[in-house]
Amino acid sequence: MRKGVLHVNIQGGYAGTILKVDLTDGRVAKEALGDEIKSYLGGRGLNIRKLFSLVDHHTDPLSPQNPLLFSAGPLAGTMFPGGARFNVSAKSPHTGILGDANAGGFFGPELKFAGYDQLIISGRSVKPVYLLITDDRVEIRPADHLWGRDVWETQKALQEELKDSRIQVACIGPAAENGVTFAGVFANLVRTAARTGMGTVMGAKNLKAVVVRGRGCIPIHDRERFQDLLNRIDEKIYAHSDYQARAMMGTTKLVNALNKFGCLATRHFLAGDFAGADAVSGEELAAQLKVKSKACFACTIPCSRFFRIPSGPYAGLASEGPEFEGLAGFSSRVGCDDLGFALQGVDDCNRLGMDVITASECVSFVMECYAEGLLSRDELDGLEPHWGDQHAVRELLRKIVYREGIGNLLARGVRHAARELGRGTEKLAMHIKGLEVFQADPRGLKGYALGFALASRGGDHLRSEPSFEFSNDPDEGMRRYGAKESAFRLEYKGKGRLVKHYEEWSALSDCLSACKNTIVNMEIINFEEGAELLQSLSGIPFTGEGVQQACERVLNLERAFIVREGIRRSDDTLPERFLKEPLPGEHPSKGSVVELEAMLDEYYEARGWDLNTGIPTRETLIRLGLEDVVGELLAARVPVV
Amino acid sequence: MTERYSTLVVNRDICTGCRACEVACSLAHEGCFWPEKSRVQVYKQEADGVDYPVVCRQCDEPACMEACPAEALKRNPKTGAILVVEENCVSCGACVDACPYEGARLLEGEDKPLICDLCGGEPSCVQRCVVHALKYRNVSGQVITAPVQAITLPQEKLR
Repeated sequence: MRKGVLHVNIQGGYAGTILKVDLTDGRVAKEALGDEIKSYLGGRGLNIRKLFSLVDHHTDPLSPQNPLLFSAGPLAGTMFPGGARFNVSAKSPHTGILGDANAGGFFGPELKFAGYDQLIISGRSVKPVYLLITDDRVEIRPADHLWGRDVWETQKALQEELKDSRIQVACIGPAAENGVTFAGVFANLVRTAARTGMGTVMGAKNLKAVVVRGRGCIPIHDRERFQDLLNRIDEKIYAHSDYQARAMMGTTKLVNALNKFGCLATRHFLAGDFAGADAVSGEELAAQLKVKSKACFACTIPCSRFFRIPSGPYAGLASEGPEFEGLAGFSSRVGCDDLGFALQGVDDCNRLGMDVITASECVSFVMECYAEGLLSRDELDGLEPHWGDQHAVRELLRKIVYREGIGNLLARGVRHAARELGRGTEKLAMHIKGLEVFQADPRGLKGYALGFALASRGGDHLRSEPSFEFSNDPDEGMRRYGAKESAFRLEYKGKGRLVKHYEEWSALSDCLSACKNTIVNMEIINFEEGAELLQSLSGIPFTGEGVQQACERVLNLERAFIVREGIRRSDDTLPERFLKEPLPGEHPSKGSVVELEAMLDEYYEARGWDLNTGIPTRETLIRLGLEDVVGELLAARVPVV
Repeated sequence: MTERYSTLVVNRDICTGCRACEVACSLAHEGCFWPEKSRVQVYKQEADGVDYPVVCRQCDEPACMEACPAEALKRNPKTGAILVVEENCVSCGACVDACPYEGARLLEGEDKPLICDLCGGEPSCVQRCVVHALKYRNVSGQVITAPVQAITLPQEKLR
């Protein structure tokens, strides 16, 4: 049994090895983790460093040349609460730019216990296979018998086949096999690296699952120091004003919270307040259907739950989950106030293997098109998807996965569908850079709006989550971001600097592979404390400034990646509805639109990016040690100045 | 009157399945994060929401002690926890086979069984179980839990 032999410079925290598997020729290679962790920390950072060099703007995302990277950072598998995550990255077949998604559960830690910080899968297998990693042993095994099975059936079959309930399975469902471009990678049945089609890349490689069983340990450089830091972290968590609400409801509390602000995506963003919110809220779920709390690896904030529906049309449905995104996606977004149905919609996506955000956008996009007369019953294979029509929603989901009729049009997301359809539907496609936005209406959340517009993987909230704008604390706003307004969600000033800071903070969380709810939203650790934790675990002398700069480097490298794909300032925008249509309704965000340009200016300036193009300047890239990236960009004819 | 022993009290109905107990146990005993070597193991059936911490029950009449041919298992005089006397242990696995609760494990490639020793009376796993699915009942019948309790099901206040 491995006892965690690391090379001399890394004494713990990390597992120490990168595993490379080529599915074309079956070759397996291992290499020692190198100095790049000092500059990129791990997780998402390590992935973008490798991915930037492995692909370029010519790479076809569905070709064998597009690698698939799994990475678990230095807190994964430790006692840090929520040190449970992993990132999956590749060039995205959904957006054509950066693909990157993150999930919790138990897979990330298991990869570390097996001895690996990163897994790089290249090539393509001729036949369906799964990868079995048992500590040092790596096998590519046939998966013909698993192909076509859903996520839940696949995990069950693998547990039975391998006679071990402690294996961790990251797998794809039929959506990925059928080339739906927003298919996710699913671990622990419902823990999904959902966004940007990482499951689709897996499917294109004929890779049904990655199965890991790790029986080794992750060493600690300075146990006493780590324990001291953890004690402080524990105290902060337990005393946090949000602690009990998070343990009770997790992110599902956002249904009611956002509804009160008038920012709950309702009927495809035609409204920001939903009359049925209470009925589908986190409070209602906890009160009526929750069986018990659930948690990711070693987490002391059990924000997930197991639920069971005892009666009604969805009686018998039982699962862990959902998150806010799924719950609101199949309730307010599609105009349905039936809690059981919302859970069923999420369950459909989980089993079939696709992203609930993009899937619910596809469905609600069709509903609005139908309501506006832009899509007819005939074009919808006889469906009449009125708001809240449960049958139509489930049928559309099924059609997407099996590429039937209208589903085939939607299987590449709303940007593609609207381009094919034309007739003015483009305005109704709620995506940014090809990635669909989640269920918060950015018109009442200016910082979030800016974060959406800028996110390196397209329309996404998890790249920044600038929750400080809910604080209403002007003095702290002045201190942190040089503007009192930054503390208020409807104000603009300071939001550029706010988003820059939160992007780096979120990157810290993704690079360490620990939970963003803990690190960022609950503000449990900052860059200095992150550095102390890293140092106590690894023995590498990290500093707060160095860690912050590493996160800044990650953001700039991701920007360089998408800039190489052609992204410019004009792409850092929002769907027209958010810029031009005042948010209707009687609520505190009534009448809002987003005025983006001044916030963008402030942001680019704070970042050191060119104001006109949104391209990182040569000076900025060189300050961050990215000289090679300047060269790469120039070679790709990107005008770096 | 029989002697009183301390024990871990397990409530499988409220276990979140997080395995913080495994991490804490391995840190306390092995000095690193090593769930495989944890004396408590959480078994799961994810589809059914089953999470079941399995650990030595410190039985009044332990089958393991009876089965041991080498007098390698004895009680800690303070806590009553069953301890492995490593110098006596002959690695036969009789204790593992005898335990009806899978409370003892002998890992592949290792020569001594893993049995919960209650950390000498301050079980580290209990300290990280915020839902109190794991509690410690000591010899005087006192019940010790984690320093916080996460409210996991609704109470009037929240509604």
